[in-house]
Amino acid sequence: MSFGKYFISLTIVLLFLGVLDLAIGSTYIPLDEILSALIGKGTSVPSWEHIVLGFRLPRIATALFVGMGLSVSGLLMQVLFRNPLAGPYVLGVSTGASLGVALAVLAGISFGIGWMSSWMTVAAATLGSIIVFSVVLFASFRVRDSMTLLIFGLMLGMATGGIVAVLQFFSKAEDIQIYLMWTFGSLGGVAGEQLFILIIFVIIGLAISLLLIKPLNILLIGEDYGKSLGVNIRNTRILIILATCLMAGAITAFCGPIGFIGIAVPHITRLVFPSSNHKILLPGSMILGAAVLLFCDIVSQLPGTQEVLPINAVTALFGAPLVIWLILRKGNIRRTIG
Amino acid sequence: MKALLEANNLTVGYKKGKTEIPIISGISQLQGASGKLIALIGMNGTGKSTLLRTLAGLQHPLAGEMHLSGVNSNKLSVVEKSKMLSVVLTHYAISGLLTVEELVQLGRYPYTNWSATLNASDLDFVQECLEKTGILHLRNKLFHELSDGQQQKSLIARALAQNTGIILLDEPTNHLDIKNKVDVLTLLKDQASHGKCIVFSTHDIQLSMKFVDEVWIIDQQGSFTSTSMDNPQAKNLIKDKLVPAEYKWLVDEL
Repeated sequence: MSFGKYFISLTIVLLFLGVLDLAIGSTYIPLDEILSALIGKGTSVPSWEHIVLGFRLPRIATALFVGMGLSVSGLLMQVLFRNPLAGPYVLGVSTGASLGVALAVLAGISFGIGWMSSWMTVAAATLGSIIVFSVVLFASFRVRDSMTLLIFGLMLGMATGGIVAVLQFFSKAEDIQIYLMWTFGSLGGVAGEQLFILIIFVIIGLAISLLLIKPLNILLIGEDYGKSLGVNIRNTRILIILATCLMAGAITAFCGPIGFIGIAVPHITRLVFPSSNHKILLPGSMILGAAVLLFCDIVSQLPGTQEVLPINAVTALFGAPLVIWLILRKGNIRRTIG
Repeated sequence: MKALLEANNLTVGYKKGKTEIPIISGISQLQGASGKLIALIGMNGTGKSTLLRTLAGLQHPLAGEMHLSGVNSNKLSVVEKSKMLSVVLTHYAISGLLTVEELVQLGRYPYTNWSATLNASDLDFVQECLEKTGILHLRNKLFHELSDGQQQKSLIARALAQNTGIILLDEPTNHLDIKNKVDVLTLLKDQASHGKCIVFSTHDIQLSMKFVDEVWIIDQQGSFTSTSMDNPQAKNLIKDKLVPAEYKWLVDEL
């Protein structure tokens, strides 16, 4: 079966959403002015150029890479754990990041202002996810089957969540609010060097995933068959975890724990591209993930108003019903994994 | 006759923490030759699956060594092994998205590059395996839509696509009706006659006797015996080893 047409039409949709997202925001900027800002000709109102190039364009780039990274992470986890409910965060990477941020914010480590503060959050989140990631990776060397690893990751996440709850309990209301704002997730505010670092991490994760196409296909018939087909299961598992943690960890560090995308997009991908071949499913998840997150970003701007909704609220509010509808229409989702 | 599969002083079993739990010890007359169809029989829990899994390299032996085509299996990489030995397992959890053809194509993976691209001769070979197993007309069906018999045949087709000298099957005739049991055994017999060494565990002893060249018996004491069906005493040996004294009167003839 050839999926070329799907990919071409999805790319057109993606371009359309990108342009739409550029045009939408709390300040109205005409389309031709946006275009002239993009090609470097400047705008009639000088601040417009700054809005387009300094805010909207980085936000769209962030949405693209976050969408791709989270979707592919979710796909990897669902295949590894043979579980349709697995997502990028099942290994506790995001709760690790949350713990880092909570420690930084709630345990009263003083924050600078402006860029200092944003780097502090990133550093704390990164440190938190690296710690959890190391524990999970260590466990994956020792644990024989993936199901044990899944439970290990979930429990680790819950325990970490417990520490965050204790910290919250003993914290000042203002600090809790800062922490809560972080958990809402945000695609804005990542620009310049931060955006560059985020993109590098996601690209490395995606590159590792592409090298995993063959083992991922084989994992669809289980680890025993995989081994008998010449796949080194342990190395595969470690590479899958590495790719997921690089992408999900970096994304959580810069944008907060953005939910839904990682679990839902792989399912949407399997429904759009009815194939079991990850040569199709991986790029499919990338393009759909980017498109879905761009769409959610557009909605979160609440076009026509001055308000911006937290991205997490939008991904869940629009995503969950969409997935329920897809599943009810297509039937048994359990079967799609194992 | 070429021995594709051999074991010396092999002990199979499990490790629980640091303690080893041997199930079958000191297997030394295990030899699977090219062209032979071999039934592995033994009562429930005597370690048929454990032995097959160990031979397949899916779990480590507790002691001893195995040879594939004369080469010590410890010296073979997983990729090299995957071109010598393929398996059909009982507890399969096949993704619902896989069609029969895609499943069988996975058998060609040891021969493909990193992107798993199948060339024309791979695709021809897959088609041939689908034809041999009589499931070509089901190629575009999802694996889960198939009956037990059709599923078993697709799994065998996948193993054939791997193009290995040895095929190990864990209870391939389980849950099948008599027609499908005979279909599967006939298919295996035919494949063995083309030079493969095929070993399958089974509880369908009487039916299997009509097809196999050799039997491997694991008795309740966990000891391993092999006998050729040319041996006139083979049936008595099986009866002795596998039928408890109190039930002997029920079984006159195997």
